[in-house]
Amino acid sequence: MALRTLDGLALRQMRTRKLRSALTGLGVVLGVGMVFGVLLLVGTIRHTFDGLIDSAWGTSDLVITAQEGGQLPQDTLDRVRATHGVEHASAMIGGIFVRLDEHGRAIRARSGQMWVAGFDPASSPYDFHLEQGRWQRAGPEAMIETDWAAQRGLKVGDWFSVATATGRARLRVVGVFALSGGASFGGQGLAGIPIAEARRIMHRPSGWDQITVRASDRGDVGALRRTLQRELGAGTQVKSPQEYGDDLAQQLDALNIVLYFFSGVALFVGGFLILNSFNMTVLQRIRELGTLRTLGATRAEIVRTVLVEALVVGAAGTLLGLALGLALALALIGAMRGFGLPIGGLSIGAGAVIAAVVVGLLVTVVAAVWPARRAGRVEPIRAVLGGRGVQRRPSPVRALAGVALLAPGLIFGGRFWIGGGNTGGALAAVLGIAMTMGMFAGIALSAPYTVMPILRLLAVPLRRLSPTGGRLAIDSATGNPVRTAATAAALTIGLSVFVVNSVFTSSFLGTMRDQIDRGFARDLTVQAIGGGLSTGEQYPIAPALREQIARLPQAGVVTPVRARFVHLPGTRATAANGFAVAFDPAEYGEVDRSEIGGASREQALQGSRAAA
Amino acid sequence: MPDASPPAVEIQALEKVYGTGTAATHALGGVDATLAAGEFVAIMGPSGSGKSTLLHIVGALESPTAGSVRIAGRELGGLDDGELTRLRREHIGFVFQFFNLLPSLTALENVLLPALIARDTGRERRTRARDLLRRVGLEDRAEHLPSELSGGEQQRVSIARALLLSPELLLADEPTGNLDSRAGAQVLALIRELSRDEGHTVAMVTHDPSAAAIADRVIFLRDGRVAGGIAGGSTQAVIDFYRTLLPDGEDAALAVTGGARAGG
Repeated sequence: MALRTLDGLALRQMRTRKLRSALTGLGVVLGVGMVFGVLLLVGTIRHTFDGLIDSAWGTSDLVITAQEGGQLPQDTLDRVRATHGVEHASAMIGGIFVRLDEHGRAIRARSGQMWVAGFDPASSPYDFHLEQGRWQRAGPEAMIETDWAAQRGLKVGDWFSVATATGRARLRVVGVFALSGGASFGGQGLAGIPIAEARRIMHRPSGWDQITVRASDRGDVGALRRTLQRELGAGTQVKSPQEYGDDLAQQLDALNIVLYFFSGVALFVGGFLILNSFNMTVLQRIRELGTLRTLGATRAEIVRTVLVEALVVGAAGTLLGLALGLALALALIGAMRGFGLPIGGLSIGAGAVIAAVVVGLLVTVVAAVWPARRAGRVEPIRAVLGGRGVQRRPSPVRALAGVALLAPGLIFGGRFWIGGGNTGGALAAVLGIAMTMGMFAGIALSAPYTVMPILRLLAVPLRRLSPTGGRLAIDSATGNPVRTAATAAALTIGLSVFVVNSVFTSSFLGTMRDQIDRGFARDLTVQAIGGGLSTGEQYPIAPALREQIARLPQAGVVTPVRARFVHLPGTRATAANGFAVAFDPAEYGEVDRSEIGGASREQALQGSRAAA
Repeated sequence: MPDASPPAVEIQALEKVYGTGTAATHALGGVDATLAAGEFVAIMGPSGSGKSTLLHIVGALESPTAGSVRIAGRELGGLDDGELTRLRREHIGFVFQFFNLLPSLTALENVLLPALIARDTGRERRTRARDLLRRVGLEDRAEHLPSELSGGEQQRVSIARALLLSPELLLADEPTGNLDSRAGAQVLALIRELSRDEGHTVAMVTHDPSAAAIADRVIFLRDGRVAGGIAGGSTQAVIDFYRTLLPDGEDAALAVTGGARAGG
């Protein structure tokens, strides 16, 4: 490559120090990779749910469900249909069946689960497009989703077996449908069966899970919504499909903040690496920089060469980061699919690409500004003197600035992450994250003062262990306190993020485990797949199945329990804030040891026995 | 006094003080000197005599505490950083003791570096760069990196680089200080020859009498002042004059060094 400009010189110098440049860029690769991966993942999740919401309720204006996952009474449908302004209403009950393999064994993986809706095809609540066969009519018939059918080689006329709340059932494929917009449930099966058949095999003789409504006046759904809500009462929830999308977006936001925080930290550390590396480069090249000045290069030209080098490192790092982010997103989507979470194909938005590229280049260039300015300030006389006497001692101003950033960062940032201060929405989140970043900057700034004493302490055993090597190591570490401190600070930040993350996770899991161990005196809990205490939605277990379990010779005490999340009266919370458990007082005491407040255990159980 | 061509360098009452208060060191204590255009002047003096400081101030690498320097009639005092940069780029060439080549650039690219900085990398410059490399005897080394060249070869590249843009003034700071005597002699001969052919004014700091002897004139500094000057040409004359400036204990050492160099 012929050298034509001073910028070319920057590139040439990078090429001769490939390893250094690569390591410098690594921080950017990781940072951009995380940011892009997160953006892609979030975008894909959103896209998937938009598609699902659209195909589930695309033709509906309102969706009625019971509060907190309960069941709507049987007469709700008639009441809704009778309401003025309702043009059309259709209802369904849903459940999750487990597919059985050819040997009659349940397919345990999440991919063995299929979500089944029982509804009357004459008034389908769904925007399904029939591809083959016909809709379900009566008896053990099922209409299945096309992707799932293709993956399992099921055709119209085939039979398949499932485990249900009442035991095993065989269903015949009568139709194959596609979701509108090509959405997919990510490997999870989706089937429609006749409502009567659903009531039988789900053991749900009456009631509805969901009623969807089309308004006569589609322009003013709000009025109908208020009417229905008033008509049906507080135990019922009337929402538009858009609100489900918004609810989801809100739930995702909580996750996003955490994800964005970690990508932000990755970028921060990446920027820090660049700052540190370029600072060192400037120090090492001080004679060359001085020489360029004697040859007539201006300050601005020197600054420019450093920035160009940073920009190239940043651009290369960003490109690789995009690739890494793509791989990361694909891996995460694959993992989510493995867990059976509904997620569609990767959706790459232009916004995500642009945001990742801008962020990557910006971080690099911003991080390089300070070293570039330092390079520009190198005096021509450095061509003669080299690096002699340029070493700076950390200034007290720096330490003060460090403490000034550290203290509020620790207090407010800490409050945000630990103290439950993150209820204030986006502003609080941004503030909390900014404070935490500030804290990291504080760590970096005050590091020369904290690292050096530690180093002196470490020097004693190190010298004893290896007199020559130890001495050399300590000398080179103490030789440039600012550089040593910067390196140590970068490590500190990276490690602390890791540690905090894993401590949080493990202590959270530990708490949960303790709670479960303490409260549960039972040996086994049997519940229907897809519903459970954690989701607040419970699919019933048929009495026949319970009796079958009780008859097992190994079973001691077998007691039924129903539970659901409830909205405690007199509280202002918008989400469920209580958990109600219905049990048989005679037996429940033997399977649960939860602490009871306000009364002794005996009293409480006796009280409920008396009430029963 | 109107004059068609002012002296290449005019130094008046130049002072340089490093540090302040009790720690202050007077590197230069009022130096006056004039270099005629096209003249080759060697500056000699014992360590700490201020000879390097003088050269750095003339080359606008350092600023004086007091006094004035004029280059081709232009006063350096009062020029801002940008103007000094342009002065260095357009009028001055430097040759350093440690060569100061950029390690990632080939010999040819190093020679072309000033043109690169001046944004003037046309065919003419490239031809001149090749010519200069040929004149310093390195045409077959054009694509070599500095790490693949000997010290003498590196210094020859740096001479070619200093002369690329044909500056009026060539400043050499101990150009042979890091070379063996044979390579040193070669480098000196090249500086002499090229500057004579192209009409450059040369100021060279050295502590080597045989190096100083190739100059037209030798200026001696002691304790930051001019201690005298003689015409160049004879190593022995330089040694003899230099000896008169030194305390008794040091002249033996000089005789040995000077003798060794002169004999090379």
